[in-house]
Amino acid sequence: MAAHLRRLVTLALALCLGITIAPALDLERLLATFQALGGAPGNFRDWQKLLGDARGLPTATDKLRRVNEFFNRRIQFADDMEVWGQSDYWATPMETLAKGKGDCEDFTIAKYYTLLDAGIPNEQLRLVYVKARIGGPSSGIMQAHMVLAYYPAPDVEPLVLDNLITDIRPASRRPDLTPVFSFNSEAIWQGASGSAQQSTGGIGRLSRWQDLVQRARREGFD
Amino acid sequence: MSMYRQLWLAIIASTLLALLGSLLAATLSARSYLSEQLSMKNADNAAALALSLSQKSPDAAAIELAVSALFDSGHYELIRVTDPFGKTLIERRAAPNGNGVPTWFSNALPIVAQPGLARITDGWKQVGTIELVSHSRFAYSALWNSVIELVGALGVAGVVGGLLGSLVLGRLRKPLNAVIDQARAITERRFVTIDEPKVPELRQLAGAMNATVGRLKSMFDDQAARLEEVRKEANCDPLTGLANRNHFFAHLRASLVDPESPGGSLLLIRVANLGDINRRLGREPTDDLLKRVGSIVQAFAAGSPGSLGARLNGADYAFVIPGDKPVRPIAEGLLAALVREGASFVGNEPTAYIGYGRYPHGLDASTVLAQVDAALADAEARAANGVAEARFVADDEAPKSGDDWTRMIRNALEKRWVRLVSFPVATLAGQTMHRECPLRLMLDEHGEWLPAGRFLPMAERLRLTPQIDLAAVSLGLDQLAQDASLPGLAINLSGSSLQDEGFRTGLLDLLRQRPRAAARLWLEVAEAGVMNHIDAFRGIVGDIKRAGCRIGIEHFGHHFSQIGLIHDLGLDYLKVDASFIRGLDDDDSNRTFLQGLSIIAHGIGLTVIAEGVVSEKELQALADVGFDGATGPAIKEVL
Repeated sequence: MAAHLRRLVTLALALCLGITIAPALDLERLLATFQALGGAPGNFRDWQKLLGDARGLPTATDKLRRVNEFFNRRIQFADDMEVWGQSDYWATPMETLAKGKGDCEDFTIAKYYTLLDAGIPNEQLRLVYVKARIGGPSSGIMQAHMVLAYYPAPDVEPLVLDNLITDIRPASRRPDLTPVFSFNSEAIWQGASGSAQQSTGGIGRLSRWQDLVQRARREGFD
Repeated sequence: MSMYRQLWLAIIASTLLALLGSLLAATLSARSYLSEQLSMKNADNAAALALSLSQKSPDAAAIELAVSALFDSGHYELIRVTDPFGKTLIERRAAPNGNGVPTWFSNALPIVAQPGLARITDGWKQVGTIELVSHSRFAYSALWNSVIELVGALGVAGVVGGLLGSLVLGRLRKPLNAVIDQARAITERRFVTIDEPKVPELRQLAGAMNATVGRLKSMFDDQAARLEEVRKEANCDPLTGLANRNHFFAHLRASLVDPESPGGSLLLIRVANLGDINRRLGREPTDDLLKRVGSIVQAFAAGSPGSLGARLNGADYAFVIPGDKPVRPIAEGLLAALVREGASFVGNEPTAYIGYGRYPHGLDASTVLAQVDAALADAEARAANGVAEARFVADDEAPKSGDDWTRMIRNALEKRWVRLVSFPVATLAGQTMHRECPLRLMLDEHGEWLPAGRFLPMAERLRLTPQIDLAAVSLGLDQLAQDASLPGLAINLSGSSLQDEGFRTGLLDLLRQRPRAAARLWLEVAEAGVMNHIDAFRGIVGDIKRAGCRIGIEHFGHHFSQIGLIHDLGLDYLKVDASFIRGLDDDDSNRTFLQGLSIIAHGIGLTVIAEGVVSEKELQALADVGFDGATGPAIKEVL
């Protein structure tokens, strides 16, 4: 009985102080990274609060909505060229948060990592390359885009988290998007570079995804 | 374990370690490279397949066709497609047929690759997951081949390294052995110096040892020089450097007692009218004349091996020649030389008178002296330069020619008319050290056994000593083999034999054939023989010692000043000539000399033995001066 009570108190205390109980997240290291990147301290505190809130929310839909809203509002869309000076750069969540800017991949990645830490299982989340039709149903302008898809069950229609629109909608209500290929950290081999036995650079070639996973791990995501 | 072997092992071990280490490192890095490549290929192929299937609303048949087509290329171990719930839709798995490399190899160095995973989707709908594993036999065979090549290359490197190592060690080993040999020689009291090696550490060591040896040698030389002074004072006439009266009579007596001595000839020389000359010319010219006479006598003595010249007193000189050399020509030659030299001193007066006589072995010394003295008086009575002979024995046999001697000695050796006689040599405590065994030859059927002194001078002149000495050594080895209780047996070798190449090989062959007997064999060479053939002697001493024999010098003492020539040879013993021993109990200065001699000899590890000891008193005196052993009439058989 006493042990039970003590566990409850610990939990409450942790929640009040906004300290994570997920051991996979190294908040101190994340903060250090964030500060090194020159991010405004308020942003990190807000993200930390978001994480605490999202963890406390009862349903997956609520978590999705809260996280989606946070990033869609807080992060300003901008080209990689403008933010990073490169044509295509996949930024880690801390980089995106610190800059306050990002393109569709950066939104998707930041949401993906935050949702994982908020307790959504990896196998329900997919990063999806999509073709997006811009400018109404009759428009012929297609653009390469990336969204985050949430599959409540393997065989049902997913919910789509997109930075172009604030709502989270089922896939069938996004006729402007045509999925091409999907992945998550489970299905992509992270390579020896992602594990403890760091390669001596013999390969010298990492996929963007591997590169990102590795950088995120260094920042404190695990 | 020797230092050389340890160094050698260290080189081998470090080479092996280095080679194994690099082999291991290269193999492990190749393995990790291969498994990373393989994992990447798995991921890429899975993603490509999934991507191509996701493009066109895949049904089960299309998926199966695509999977089969890819799988049949033969490069895959497994391609499996599972539906979103994990149920297997299609699986293609290669039959296990080995990796093409030995099983132990693939067990020891497994190449682990991550399977490739990718999602197939149809629009937003999940169709399934592709799991793809490439065949690892290519990776294994690449790894196996690289290991084989590495082992080959490293093996070659190892062999080259070993060869270089042994080359270096070989270079080190030579100077090291030289230093070790020097150290060993010093412990055997042979004070040798060596060339300084090029290796710095060894050079210092060798330099230090050479310096020590040099100091010891100069101390030794000083001591020897001082002792030589003592010897001269005791035994030499101060004016002429010839033997003095005491030494001469000791020599004469000893040679008459020595069973090996064949007898000999005595000459007494008197400078005529010395008193008148002294009055007429004064002291200094007289001394000059005496010195000149002395050097003529010395020159004649040097011309006949074993002879001794002496100044007995004022005007009297003496000269003894061993053996049965015809003495009249010598006496006349000597007189002629004296007359020539003395002409400026004596004017028309006679210069010198000579009395001489050939005496047989065994005669009493005073008898010999008295008769030769009478002959001298005869010559003097004629008051003109002249010689007169004292006759002891009628010459019953005509002198033999060189050819006769050659034939008879060869005949005796062929018929084995040879035998050894034997005299005990004992420590001063009375224990037998060895038996000295001179050779006897029988020249004809009449059965007279000749002592060495009778035939050896002739044999030396005719160069027959090598055969005679080999016969003696062979007989000696026979006796040693027959009589195991014999502590040792000494054989005399002629100095002239040592010069003979055939003798040296013949002797060493004999010794090597019978090592057990050779270990108890003592070989000795007379001092005069050693000094006349010093290079040959130095050359053979080492071989004789390696064959297990002891080697020494007999009749030692007259050339004491040359002891420096033999101090580093590692000789075993010296037998000191009887002329220094005779009357030792009465002779303080010779006692001093012999005491110094035995200290020096012991300092270089030699046993010192006295020859021709005739009395208990002499034995006592020998003990006082530190001798180790003695031989001669006073040494009785120990039964």
